[in-house]
Amino acid sequence: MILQSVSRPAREWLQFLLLLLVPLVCTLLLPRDPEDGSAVGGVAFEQEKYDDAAEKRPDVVFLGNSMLNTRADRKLLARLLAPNRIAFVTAGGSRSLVWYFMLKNFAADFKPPPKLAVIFYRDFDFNVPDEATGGKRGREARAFMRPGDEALMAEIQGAEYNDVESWLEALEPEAYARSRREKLLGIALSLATVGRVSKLDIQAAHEVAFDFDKLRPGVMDAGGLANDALDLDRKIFTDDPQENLLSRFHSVAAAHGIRLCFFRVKRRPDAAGLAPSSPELTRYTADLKAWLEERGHVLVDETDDPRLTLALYHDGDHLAKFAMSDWTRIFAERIGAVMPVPPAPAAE
Amino acid sequence: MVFHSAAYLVFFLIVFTACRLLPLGPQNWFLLGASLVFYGWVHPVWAGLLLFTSMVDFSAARGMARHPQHKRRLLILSAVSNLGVLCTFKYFDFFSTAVADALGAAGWSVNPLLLGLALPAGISFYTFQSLSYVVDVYRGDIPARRSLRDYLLFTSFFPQLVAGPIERAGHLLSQIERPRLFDVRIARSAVLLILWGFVKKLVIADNAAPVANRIFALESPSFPVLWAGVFAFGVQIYADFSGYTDIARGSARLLGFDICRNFNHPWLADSPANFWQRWHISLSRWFRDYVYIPLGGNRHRHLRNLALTFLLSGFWHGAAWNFILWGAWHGLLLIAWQAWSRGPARLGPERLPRMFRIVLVFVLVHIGWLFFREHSLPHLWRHLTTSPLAASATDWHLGLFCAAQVALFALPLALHIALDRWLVTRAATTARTFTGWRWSLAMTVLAALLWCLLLLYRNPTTSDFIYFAF
Repeated sequence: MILQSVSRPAREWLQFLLLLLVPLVCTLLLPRDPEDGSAVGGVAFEQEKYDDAAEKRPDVVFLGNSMLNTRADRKLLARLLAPNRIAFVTAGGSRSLVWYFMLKNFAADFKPPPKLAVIFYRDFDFNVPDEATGGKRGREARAFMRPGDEALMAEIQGAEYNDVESWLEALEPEAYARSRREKLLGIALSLATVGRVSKLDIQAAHEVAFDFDKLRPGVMDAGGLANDALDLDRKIFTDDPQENLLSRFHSVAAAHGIRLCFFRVKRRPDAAGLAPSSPELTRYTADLKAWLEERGHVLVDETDDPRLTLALYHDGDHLAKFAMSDWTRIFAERIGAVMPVPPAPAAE
Repeated sequence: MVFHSAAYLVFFLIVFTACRLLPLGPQNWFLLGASLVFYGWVHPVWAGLLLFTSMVDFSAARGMARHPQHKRRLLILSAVSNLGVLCTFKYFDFFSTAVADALGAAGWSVNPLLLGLALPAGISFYTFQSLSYVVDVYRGDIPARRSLRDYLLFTSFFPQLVAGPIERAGHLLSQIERPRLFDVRIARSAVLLILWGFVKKLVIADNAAPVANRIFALESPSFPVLWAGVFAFGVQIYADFSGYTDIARGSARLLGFDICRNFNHPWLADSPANFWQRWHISLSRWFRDYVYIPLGGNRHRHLRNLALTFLLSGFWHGAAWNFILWGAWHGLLLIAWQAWSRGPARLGPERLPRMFRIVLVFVLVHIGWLFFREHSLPHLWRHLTTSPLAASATDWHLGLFCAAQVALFALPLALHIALDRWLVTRAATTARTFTGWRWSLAMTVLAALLWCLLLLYRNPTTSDFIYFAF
């Protein structure tokens, strides 16, 4: 044994063991989250979001991420698509796993279920179910999960979620750490209220200063880059349940009489108005469309719409605020054909 | 592989156990294999690149020992291979774009030739470490080593491979060549160091990062908000980089190695020169020994040498103009401070209270962090010309709010300074002197506190260490 030990009294070894063990024992003494049957992995279910959408008794639900949030003017769309009742369930940064949970735990659970679920997606989103399922995004996903969904989450995450967070989280749920960090932010807010300004004023100023429109173009939309960086294997269409969630989407929708509409958004175009494309993407989209149509669903694609020019985009694939109403009108016109009830012509 | 992953924990436990069981020769083979696995975990080809540059340097040094008459040529060969690899991966696209821009400005529009190569993690660190060995052999400071295995372990030793400290052969290689000992007292300090490193990274750096990132994502932040962001980045980069170093040093200590200290409370620096004696010490010493002194040091064209050294230091950090500006800023600070020191004694910096000088250096260093963090030159210019007078009262409160968030998370750093200074007054090294149950209990409580801090205040949205990008 070459890495020999320097001879030390037995008590020093005992002291070393103490140093290793005491912190771990301390973990057991830390206060835990109160038991919450609906919490998955220490994250409470998005009940408020559920109730907001369910109480509308929607005919159509729109599911998605910031692609939907930065495009649809919700009030205008509700008017344009009347008499169909619509509701939105969105989560910034979410991907197909969360959209699946939105469909299963929200839309399909509504009484009655909607007739149509429109899911906003980009290019290969459905082929990368493990995207945005680790770290912060993984915890956000849990807010859309019901007890029993953990197995699917674990299956999708696979080897991706093996970082320090998983075992730290098992010791001390992230939600608890978050609440403590938020308390510190509360103290910071108190410290900042020197003079006559109130906490509410600072919070309001914070909202304004970090408003979406104040951000630099191109700094927020990492999702688009992730979509572009896929390897070739993941650009081939498959409905293998081991590879993606497409067959699960269909099963849930079929069981609840929901028609699916996959809405492919136009990615940020170039100066000539053309969105990025490739032979693989064209083939994949055609295969996905055929697969959906075979099952009575539909794919609507706005990618080739020349009206959606670069001038309408803010950062990455997000649209600028000023473009939302124009986009919503174009969208209503395009989606009208698949609505359960044809929209009234003079709805606006 | 990154330190803050469960994979590293398993990896390290295997390495530690193996090192306890194997004799020196096989132990070094095992450590070499483990280091290559660690480095090639995500991109195995990177390990090949590391082996290539190391073998060229090893052969060059052996050649110097066998054929002293060709020493100079072999040194040039080593420098060309190291810097060639570094330039290809790190600087080629930058130079190509710069040349195309210059030609474009002259009226010849050309498309730059871009390689688009991914930058291998730690390439700047290990090429400098390997190069320093060849230079030391060339100068006759150390003998050329015969064991390729030990040399490869020196360049690839996993705790410090990706983000330093940049070790010297005289220090690390000599430890690789002799039997190591496991000392339970040293191990105790190593565990504390690792825990402290994790707190710095996961609690301090990762909680400061969102503040800095959000502010630097703004198109045109107001003056107080901008500087709150710069402060946040200053805290982030210090906690992030020194946290990495602490985990690296702690891991190496458990394996019986002593890795050099890379930080010594840089926030206490009371002059720009003093800052560089406390910040990224191994890099500062590298540039001093292999660039500044060979250029003439203090003896000949002192100011030019300083400026050139810091420009190169900035360029070492990244192939971008903002890093060059950052290096230039620090060079300028050193030159200006020296000029100030050489002025009338009654007006010199030494006449100021030390606390005032510390605050002044803190502010100047943070102006430098603005150059470092802001990659867009038009935005950098906008930031530098943002007037405090244009900010509203609400902006000042908002800036204070952002800065206070970061300051609260950075409190452990300030407490560490106080604790360290208190301990230093009692012993040179805590591991050797502070024995007995009283100290043991204190250390155990401290470890428990660090662990709880980690669990309770960590930011789950963690990211790679900043210096991985260099």
